[in-house]
Amino acid sequence: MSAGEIIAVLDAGPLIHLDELGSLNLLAGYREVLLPDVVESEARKHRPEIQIDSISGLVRVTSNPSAVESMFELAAEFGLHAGELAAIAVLKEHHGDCLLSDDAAARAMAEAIGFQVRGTVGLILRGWQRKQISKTAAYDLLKALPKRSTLHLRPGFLANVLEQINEKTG
Amino acid sequence: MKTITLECPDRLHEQLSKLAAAGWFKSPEDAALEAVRRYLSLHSVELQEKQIMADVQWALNECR
Repeated sequence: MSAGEIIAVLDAGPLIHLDELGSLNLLAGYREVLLPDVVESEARKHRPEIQIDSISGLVRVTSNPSAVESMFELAAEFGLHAGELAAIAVLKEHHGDCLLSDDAAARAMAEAIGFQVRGTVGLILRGWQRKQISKTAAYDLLKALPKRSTLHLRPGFLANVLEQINEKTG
Repeated sequence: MKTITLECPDRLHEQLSKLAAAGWFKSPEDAALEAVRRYLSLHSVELQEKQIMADVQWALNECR
């Protein structure tokens, strides 16, 4: 499936982190980017001025309480919060393909029920692979994550990620 | 080994007790301990880093 055919559903993490980096444009290239109302509220609590309307292919979705409720048991097992649960419920209900999330438990649950999952780091690198940004720009955004965003990464781990990219791409 | 004392909402305690009564755990406390273990395993730094590295591999090998 090519990127342009993928329906992605946003969780708050990548939305907030990409906005912190001034890089919401990296969400471009999906057929649709579905944004559950619960996730938007959560993101606006952290980033009141967030430029959500600038996201290409954005479709706002009202969470369906019965769809959310049907997943309570599984969500409890994975320890999910309201926003993450709403995002996965929207993914199922709207036949989405990919969850965009940085939450480990939400990612684990979405993968367990058969969906693709990408996080902020994956979206930055996707932007480079799609030639939206240069390798240098992608590299700079990754290096800026600990200082300019609230996505917490161990410095040693980030160095490892950058090394992997260099090894593979020279 | 440490002891933690906590107030558990009635509904949650009822669910833990059901698991214990069904024979899955010796007591509601044991069920709560297992729930904490599972929560921690799903919110670990190791899991987060493994997932991010999977994103990196995907981006470098498959994403076009």
